[in-house]
Amino acid sequence: MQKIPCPWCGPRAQTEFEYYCDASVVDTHFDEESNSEALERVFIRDDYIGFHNEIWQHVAGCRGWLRLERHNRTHEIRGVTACRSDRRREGDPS
Amino acid sequence: MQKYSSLALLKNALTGNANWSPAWRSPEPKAHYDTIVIGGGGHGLATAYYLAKNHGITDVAVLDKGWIGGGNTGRNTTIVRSDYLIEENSQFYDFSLGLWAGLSEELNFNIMFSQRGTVTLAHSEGQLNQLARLANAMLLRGIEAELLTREEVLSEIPVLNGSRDTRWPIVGAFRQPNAGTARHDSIVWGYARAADSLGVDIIQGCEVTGMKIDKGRIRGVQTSRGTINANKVAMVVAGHTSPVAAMAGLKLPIETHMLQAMVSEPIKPVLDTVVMSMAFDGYVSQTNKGEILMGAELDLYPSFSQRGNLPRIEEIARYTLTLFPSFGRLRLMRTWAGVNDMTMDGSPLIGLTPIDGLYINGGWCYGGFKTIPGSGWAFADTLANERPNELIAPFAIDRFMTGRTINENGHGPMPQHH
Repeated sequence: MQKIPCPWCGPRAQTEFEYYCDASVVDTHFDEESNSEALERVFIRDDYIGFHNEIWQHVAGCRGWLRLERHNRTHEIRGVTACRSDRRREGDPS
Repeated sequence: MQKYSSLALLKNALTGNANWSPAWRSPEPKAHYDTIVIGGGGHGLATAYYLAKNHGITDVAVLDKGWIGGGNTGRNTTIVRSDYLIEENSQFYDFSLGLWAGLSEELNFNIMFSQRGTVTLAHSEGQLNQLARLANAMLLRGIEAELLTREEVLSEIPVLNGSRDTRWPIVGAFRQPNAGTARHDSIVWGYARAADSLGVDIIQGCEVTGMKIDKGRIRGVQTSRGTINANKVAMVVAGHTSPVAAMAGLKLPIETHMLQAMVSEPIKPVLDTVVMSMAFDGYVSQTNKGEILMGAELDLYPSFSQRGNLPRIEEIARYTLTLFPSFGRLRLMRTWAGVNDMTMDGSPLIGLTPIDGLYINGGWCYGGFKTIPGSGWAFADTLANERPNELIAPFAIDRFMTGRTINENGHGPMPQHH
């Protein structure tokens, strides 16, 4: 069981959250990519053992979206930020 | 190979069982092999066995970083079935099921294949219609399938909760009568022993740490026991497909997840088939030792941890007890997690890679156990003839770029939901 620090609600049990996808899937300027880049973004993953950026949702809590920096073997969480679509449009990947 | 038989048992019993020879040798790795198979699990050993038996290629080494039977072959639910809707899956899984049925005799090793059938419960008319569609698709392809009424289900599996006033009332069921279970250790031991007797070197405790690639062609592998050269290298490491493929610079349509399963303490025989349900993803069955085997369910987030996880164990216990309230007094004996290299369409990656001489067999998601013989058979043919065997051609790794994905559940590129 992991304890996930929600930026809005504080530390909560993992069962309140749902994993959505690897952050690389959403970290892109959709208008600028070619077909092959888009296919690669949708289907291919850099599935190494180590820290990954992931998109999670606090589904059984505030329903906010968050970005976790989480280790996929130890499950250590090194960082969490709120997902902000407006920031991504301005070129800030967080 | 020392043949196992009643006579051999008797003879060795009379000599105090002191004269049994080891089931396979433990040779030092040679400097060069024709073919190296990375991964001594079920698929790797089956590949080596069929390379030697069907194609006469015996200059083969199977490398495993641990011991035979210590990986995902020992971390599953041992169910063998072929009830798939999509044509490509159906043909391949049913071919594999056919091979299972003859393996004990072929390998001279009792793999305890028990065709006790699988029963998938429907809890609504809609679910029963869905199962009828599946059964019809299977029957059209010549695969055994049948539908059961509510009364038939409850008379054949009396331990099920037959109340209509429950979360999942039983409306009917689908059965694949020739599906079943097998002993997980026996399948690897049987293939290892048979492959060894045909001349294959099985090298345990030999971890591959890198690939030797020269001008787009594989030349061998670096291992914890030195460099070993080879004409062909096959990665058969389902569970750790991504990290091993990364050694060759390959990125794949895989995200790795954990699958949780568990067994109770052993009890007397009470459940003589495998029960599935349209309400959840796992199985409930009784092992030959008497344990109630429950699971498996994905953790639903990426992980390589290979650890049990209480939320999923609770979930599996919850649905098992909804269907089988009388199991509520049992104590859990053991839980485990298998590593699932979940692909983006829920189907395996098997065949050639962009690197000459390097082959891949992985991405089995949580369906690897049932396909061990079929995968080994078709993959050995692929390796020997350097082109995809027709059974596995649809599972080529480039299918994602061409749009020909094989998505049995239709969930799209969300690996946690396949």
